[in-house]
Amino acid sequence: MLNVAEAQEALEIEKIERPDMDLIEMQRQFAEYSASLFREGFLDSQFTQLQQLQDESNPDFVLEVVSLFFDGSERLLNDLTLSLEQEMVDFKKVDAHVHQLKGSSSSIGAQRVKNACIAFRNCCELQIPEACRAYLQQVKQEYLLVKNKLQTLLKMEQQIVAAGGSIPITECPEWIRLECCHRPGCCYKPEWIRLECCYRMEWIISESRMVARVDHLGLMLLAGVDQARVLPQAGVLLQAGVD
Amino acid sequence: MAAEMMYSVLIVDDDAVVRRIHKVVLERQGCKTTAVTDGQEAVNLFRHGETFDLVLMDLEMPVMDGKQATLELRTMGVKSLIIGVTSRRAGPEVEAFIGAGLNDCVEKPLTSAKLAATLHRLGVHIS
Repeated sequence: MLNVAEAQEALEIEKIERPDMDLIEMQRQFAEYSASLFREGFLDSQFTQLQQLQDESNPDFVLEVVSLFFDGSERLLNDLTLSLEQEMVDFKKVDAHVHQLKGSSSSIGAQRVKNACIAFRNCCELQIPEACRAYLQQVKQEYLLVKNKLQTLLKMEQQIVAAGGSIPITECPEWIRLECCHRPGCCYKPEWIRLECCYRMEWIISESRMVARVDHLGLMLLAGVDQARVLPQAGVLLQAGVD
Repeated sequence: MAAEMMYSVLIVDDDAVVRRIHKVVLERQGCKTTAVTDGQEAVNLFRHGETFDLVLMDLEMPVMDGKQATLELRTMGVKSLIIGVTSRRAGPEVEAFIGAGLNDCVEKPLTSAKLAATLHRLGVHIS
């Protein structure tokens, strides 16, 4: 068995023989972390679109856009906080701010922030200040989470670039829109759920693992899953892919 | 390609994130872009004699919204293609926006594929 000193020496030798090992490891970690952000719903395919727009003529495009998103979002969140602290809340103004935040979060692919904004806007229609304040807290929470994740991702990206490497682009799993007649909030066994899909049935059933999210319109049937829970979240779709 | 021959696009949106993204999407397609932050600025540019092949018009903006700006541009006789770009789904507001004089309307966020499909639908070929 190697002792610590021998192990470190072996590692140094390997680094000399394979000087790109650290870079490869960094790229692997970046790809894994990036994939987890898509899997957990923090990011959607729009973020992949941004990564694909980054090239030699716009080498810092993603960083620029994300920075603009942070600046704009924090301004909007401050404005929302102030608006909801007023004795007479101007819900039209609140709705306009949330709409704008929804737009920019959608544009960078910050999916959970976008979905939180959609729920917030539904609450604005009811014009209940307390409820709106609660939804604002949810939006803030999702924003802080995605900000933290994106900062980590961009730092990893900078390290790869500094080491002379290229950034691996993680493709967002393909989403399929499905139609259903069932209500959000209920649990159903798969055989009870009617599935209609615009894609070939064979393609869907061949995927071994799926996650369903439901908007106010529908639910997805999952092959090979014991139970499907209908989630009252806006933003649709069936994620085709595996962990 | 000489700048004067490039397809010129005016981006009208109050969101800096959206303006930046649309600029890069369009420039990737070989377009020359100008960006403003509200409908009034867009109208002012045309009033001062500027011309654009295409206008990408957001709906909800301060000072002057996209519907009003589109109405004014069409009243002025502007013949440029105007494509509405909005995060609102189909509904009365979007219908009114289209009715103001849009050639087409797409849902945000704009991507290269959406832009290409929309321009194809409108019979536009950017060389």
